[in-house]
Amino acid sequence: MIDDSLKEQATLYAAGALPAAEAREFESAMAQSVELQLLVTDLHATLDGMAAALPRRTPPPALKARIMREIDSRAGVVVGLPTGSGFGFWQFLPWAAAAALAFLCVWFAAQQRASNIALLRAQQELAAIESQSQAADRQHEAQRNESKAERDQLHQRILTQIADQQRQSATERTRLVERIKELEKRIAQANPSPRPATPPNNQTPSPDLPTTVPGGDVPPGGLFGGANASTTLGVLRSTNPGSPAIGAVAWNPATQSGTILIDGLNVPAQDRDYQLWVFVDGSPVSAGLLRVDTTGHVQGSYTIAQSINTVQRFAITDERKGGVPQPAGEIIMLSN
Amino acid sequence: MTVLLRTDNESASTPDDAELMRRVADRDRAAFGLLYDRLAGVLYTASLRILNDSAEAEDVIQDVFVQIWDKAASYDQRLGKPFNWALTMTRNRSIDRLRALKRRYEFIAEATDTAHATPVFASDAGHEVYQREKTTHVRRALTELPLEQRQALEMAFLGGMTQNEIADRLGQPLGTIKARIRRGMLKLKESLGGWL
Repeated sequence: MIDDSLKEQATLYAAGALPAAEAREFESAMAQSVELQLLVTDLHATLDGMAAALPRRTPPPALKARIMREIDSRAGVVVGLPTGSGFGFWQFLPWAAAAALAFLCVWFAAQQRASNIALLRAQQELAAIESQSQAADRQHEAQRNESKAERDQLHQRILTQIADQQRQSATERTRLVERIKELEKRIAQANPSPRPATPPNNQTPSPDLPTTVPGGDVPPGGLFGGANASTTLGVLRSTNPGSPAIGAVAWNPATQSGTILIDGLNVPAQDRDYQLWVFVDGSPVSAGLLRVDTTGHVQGSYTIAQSINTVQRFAITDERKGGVPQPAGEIIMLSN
Repeated sequence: MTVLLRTDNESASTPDDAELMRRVADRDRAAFGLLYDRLAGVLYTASLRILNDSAEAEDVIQDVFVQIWDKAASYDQRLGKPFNWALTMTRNRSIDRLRALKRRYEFIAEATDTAHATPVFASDAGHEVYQREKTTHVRRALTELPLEQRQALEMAFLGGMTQNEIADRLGQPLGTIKARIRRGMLKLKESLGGWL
């Protein structure tokens, strides 16, 4: 979960509105948070979409021709020596003069060779050292650039993969919500009258546990029909990726009651019970034991002994028969 | 909402931007021309909006397309779509030029008044019909943004201005500008959803 302050920084960063120092600070924070990286990626795409939707202006047709000429020239045009009748003696004159000058220089150098040989050797050695040093610098620079490019590419690849996964998760979430709705509809059709809450055989909760057990009356309008703005709703998903279990759970602080619906659960072992927990201020509070029918289905309402206004999350654990005052067993389902 | 599907014939005969980039990397002049036809309008519009000077915008577009020709071989699809890559280049070069010219970005309030204007499209119909649908949707989302939020967003993104510069220019407290950008962007992102 990204807090509001970071979310604001993300929008300012993506829009390019953060001053340099703050942008660097934000980049450090972003490096630690995949969620933040995803948000920034989405914000960049949003801004690109905004730019693309500006009322369109057409570039002049001549611009394309100009650009095509430019790339044609960059592709490389072979330029040969000029030919024709005008290429005569006077045009050779500068070349002849240059050749003569070169000849004089060689002759002069030959005269001075003996006295300057030591100096030339020193200069050659110096030039060789400089050349080696420059080559090493170039190699170092190339390696650094290559390394940076690889790092950037890796970073972008990770971002792309994360974005793909996020899209898949969103699709999966939508599918699950649809499935819950479908389940609820099917249950409402199959159970026109509410089922009485009957505690399961041999499942008497211990004295320090809440006495309510899911399986109570279905509220009017369906299990979640009475939900309002203050109701906490959670989609329960199995912690085992291979499990088909899926469900929904709600807590209404106005009525101090909740509803739960799960499908696809494994029936607990003979000496075990599934126990529902609500998390309040980070601490688990027992909401009772689940009654799972032979098809792996759980449905009903529940209450909690203490008054609870805000629920952060819901969880279901696999506990010893009769339940426990604090969760000790494996978490089998967890809400969003 | 209209659902637009592309037929197999269309997708086979209409190479996407990434395919065009691959061909440009192989020095395919025709592919480069097609890519120009597809992107130049959007890029020129963005540059013109930033610079408010058609000659300068043309120079930027020429630079950008020459860069595309030169760098096509090193383009990596995983780094983003060709459009996003080219738009980033265009935006950066335009803002640099704006600063070099010592001019200021001028927000144009009529930005989305033409929500139903018909954009200029190239000939490949399947691709462009989808783009038109998307553009209409984005414009509708933009018209729903309060003017001051759109202004702050554009001044940052297209004008290359920091939050402090925007606050100074508009004579508003810094916190107000931050809030406008935050609200505007998050609302726009939410409105656009799956279109982006």
